[in-house]
Amino acid sequence: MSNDDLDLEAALADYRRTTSPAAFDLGFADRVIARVATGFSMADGLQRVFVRLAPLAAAAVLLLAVLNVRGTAASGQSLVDRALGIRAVTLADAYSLDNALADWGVGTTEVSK
Amino acid sequence: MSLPLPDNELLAAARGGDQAAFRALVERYQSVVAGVVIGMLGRGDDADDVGQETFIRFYAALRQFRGDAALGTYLRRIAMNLSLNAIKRRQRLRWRFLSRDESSSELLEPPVEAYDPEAGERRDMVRWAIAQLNETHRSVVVLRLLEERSTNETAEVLQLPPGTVMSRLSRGMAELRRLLAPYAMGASDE
Repeated sequence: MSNDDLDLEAALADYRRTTSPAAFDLGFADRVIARVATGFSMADGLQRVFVRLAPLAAAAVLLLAVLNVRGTAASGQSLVDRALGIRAVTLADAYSLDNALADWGVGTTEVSK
Repeated sequence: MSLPLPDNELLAAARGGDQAAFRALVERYQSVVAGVVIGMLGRGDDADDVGQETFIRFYAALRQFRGDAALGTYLRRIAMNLSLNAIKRRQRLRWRFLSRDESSSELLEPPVEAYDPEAGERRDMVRWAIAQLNETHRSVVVLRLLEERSTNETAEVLQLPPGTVMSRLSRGMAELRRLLAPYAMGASDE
């Protein structure tokens, strides 16, 4: 070990001996507990609501999907489309959309005066 | 007078929602967290915030804490990670506010009190020199040399191989020696 090492170690030992142990300002535990209490009361509340509502929502989604599938047995669509209630798009649908837009005054070539 | 409850009993009670038990853990380990946070960031509001955040993260993870590591080591790890994040935040802020022609080495300095050679106190000198280290070396120096943790525990806190801890310590000490040379070594000759 060189003299430089000795000097550095002596300086560090001196530092540890003469420096008071690191500490936060008074009331640190109070500040932590206050933050824990405010931060977690809302999170806990939301968690409880979610835990109660999530199974109900999942059951409702499942029921609607089953009803959709059963009600569209002869449509020839994929199971996913039927479960999600997505209608098959036909040429007639595209024309009817044009007509609907024309009824609303959108997409027509006429310029209003 | 009753004996203080051991950590595992306080942990079990805190997991069950007993805030008094959690408070007892905060009071027991706040000096451990303070050693890391103040060593890394210096004293001030930032250090207090990071200290609080350390215990809030710990509270949120109470159920996941299985006691694989000692509680002190676990808290030191959280405190160190949050301190390193805080240093990065400071650097980003300083990047935003400093003009481009200023030297990038200045960006690594934490806002601790500047060393005044006139004051001449060895303690201030060491504190100043540690604050000049980059965060990679500072984290090892704080844990190994100020907190006097073993190489293995330092490695566990920093999640590094012990060999990396030793090489970073060596480089950190070389840098400290370079920084302190004009003052400490001269003073020791007098």
